[in-house]
Amino acid sequence: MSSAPPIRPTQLLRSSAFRLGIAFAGLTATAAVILVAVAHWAVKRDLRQQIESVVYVAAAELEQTHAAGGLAALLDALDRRVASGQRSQMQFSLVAPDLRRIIGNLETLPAGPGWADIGEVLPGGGARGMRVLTMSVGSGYMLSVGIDREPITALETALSRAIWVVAAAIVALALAVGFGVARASHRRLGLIDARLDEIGRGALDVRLPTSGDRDEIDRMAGAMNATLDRLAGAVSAVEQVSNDIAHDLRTPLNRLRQRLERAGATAASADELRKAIDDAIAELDVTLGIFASMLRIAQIEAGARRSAFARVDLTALVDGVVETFTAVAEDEGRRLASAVARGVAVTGDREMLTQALVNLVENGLRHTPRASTVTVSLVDGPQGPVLAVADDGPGIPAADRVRVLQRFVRLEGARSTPGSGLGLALVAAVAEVHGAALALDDNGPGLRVELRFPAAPD
Amino acid sequence: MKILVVEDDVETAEYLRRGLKEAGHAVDVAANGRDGLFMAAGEAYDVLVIDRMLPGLDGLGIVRTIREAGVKTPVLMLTTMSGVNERVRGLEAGADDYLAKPFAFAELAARLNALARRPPIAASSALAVADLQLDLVKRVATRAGRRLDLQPREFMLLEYLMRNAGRIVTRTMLLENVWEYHFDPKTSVVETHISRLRGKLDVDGLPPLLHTVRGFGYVLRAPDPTDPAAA
Repeated sequence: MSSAPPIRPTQLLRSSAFRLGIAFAGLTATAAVILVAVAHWAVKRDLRQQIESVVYVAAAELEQTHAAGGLAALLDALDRRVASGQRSQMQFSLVAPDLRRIIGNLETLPAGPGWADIGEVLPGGGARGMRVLTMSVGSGYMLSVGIDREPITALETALSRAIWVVAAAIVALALAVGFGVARASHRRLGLIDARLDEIGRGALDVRLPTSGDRDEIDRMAGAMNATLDRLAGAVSAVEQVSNDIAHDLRTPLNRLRQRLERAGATAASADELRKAIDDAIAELDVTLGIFASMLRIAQIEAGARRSAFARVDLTALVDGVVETFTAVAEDEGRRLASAVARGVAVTGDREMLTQALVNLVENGLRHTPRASTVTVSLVDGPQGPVLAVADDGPGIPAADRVRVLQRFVRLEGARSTPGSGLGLALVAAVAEVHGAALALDDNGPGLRVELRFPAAPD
Repeated sequence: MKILVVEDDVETAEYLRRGLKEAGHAVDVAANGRDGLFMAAGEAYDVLVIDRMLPGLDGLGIVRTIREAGVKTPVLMLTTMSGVNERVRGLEAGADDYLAKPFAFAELAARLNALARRPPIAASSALAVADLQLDLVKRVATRAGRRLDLQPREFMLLEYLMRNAGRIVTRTMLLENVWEYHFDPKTSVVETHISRLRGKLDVDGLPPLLHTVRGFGYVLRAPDPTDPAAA
């Protein structure tokens, strides 16, 4: 058994499993990015609200201080807060109406009341982002409370890094999975490919591998295996026929050759030679008869005549055969009985049906001991007409009843009587082309062969 | 009689020519369909033997063409294809008989005789050979005035033999024309019926009419008045 070749990049790109993997990865990554972005937005808003509320509370306290104790109290409170370094990330300033800063550690002057983002220059160099709330206090003073925006910035940075990492991980994972799936299916299909190649080169016993998953590849392989089984069966049947032909035609031809050779070498008189030639012609005629029968069966099996099917008066056909073979049976020391229903007809080919019935009757006459009775019956049953030929001879063992329908099969007891082993095969072919069931049964004693025709459509 | 053989296989053509010549016939041979058609249409033959497969124009084409042209010469078609379809197609094209290769020469000769002297399809209601009478309307046969008790198939057999009285008919011809069996039965169908018919026909004291020609077939003929040893 050969294994699948390694996967090539171009094959990978064409692989439907890989493409599916990539598309899936893209979709997943997009979904993840959207999810993280939404979360980012929500968290950022929440954080800002928290920070702003801290600022707002501080500003409100200071405003209350001013309302209660005036500017002096406010200055005092600011002074305390700045000095205490309380909440070091918070900074304050109070600006007079002439825009002069009275107190505070917030260097940047406010633009006006309300929220603002500013970059505060730090004393030691550098700057930091501040969220500043400015409000008017007293007459023309402006109070600013700012807070470090660092937590928000840090969160933003962390989140955006997380988004990229997650997206990259998802894409990488999807690529890996896509590649893996592509490679696995490539390996399976490659194996199937290789097996098909073997089969194509004549190894008809090779079957496609199945994994037992019942997935679509498995099902396809199963269906192909079933087809291969049938094909192999047909091929072996053809082989069997060829072998049979080779055997059944070569044997008499070989006998013929020997006979002619011997006659040519030893015949002492013209009469002897003439006799040898006559015998040879008779032998040749038998062989040609076998050949004709085989061609006829093949032709019937091909169904070429089905287009010429017509209404056949089965009653008249059976009557005719019975009349003819009643005399033949008597001459052969047997009896032909009949029970033929009137007015039975089928759609079919009269010639084929006649030959099938004649074959059955002749089989009955030839494979039974003297004084046997062969009975031909025709009934028009509810399931359709049934034509039966039964005898009270030795019959056929149940185990052989299927085999005997095949070409050239002659049972042991029949070897002594002349015949080609094609008679029942022809009947089987005629039955098949007429859609009739052919059944071989025990007649207790003897053999009963039935041709069960389909009921005529109304 | 004058016979045209249209056959492309040189050996077969020669075999037919010699055989038919030895049987006392005048034989022309055409090796292809065109020549065959030209000769069949241009000269008066008693019977035509035409191979089914020919170079140029095939056998079916020749028969169809001459029939369209009104030539009524009987045609025996030869073929290597013995299928039912082939026979039907040959007969539909206008051939009168059909013989599958390989065949025995006697078979061919007997069929040519039957074809060539086929009586005009007269609506005669009775046949007669010597003291044997056949009434086709009443389906009654009499020999020397005595009615023969015949089975239906025996009547048909006798009718065919009488229509071909004096000519050899082969076993196959009887199977095809009396029984319409286009296959070879394994039992002695023809022999059995011939023997029964003979038993009813050639009764004690009457000169025999139905004869077996060994290796060829059967012939029904009036007793030869110059041969007193006919019995």
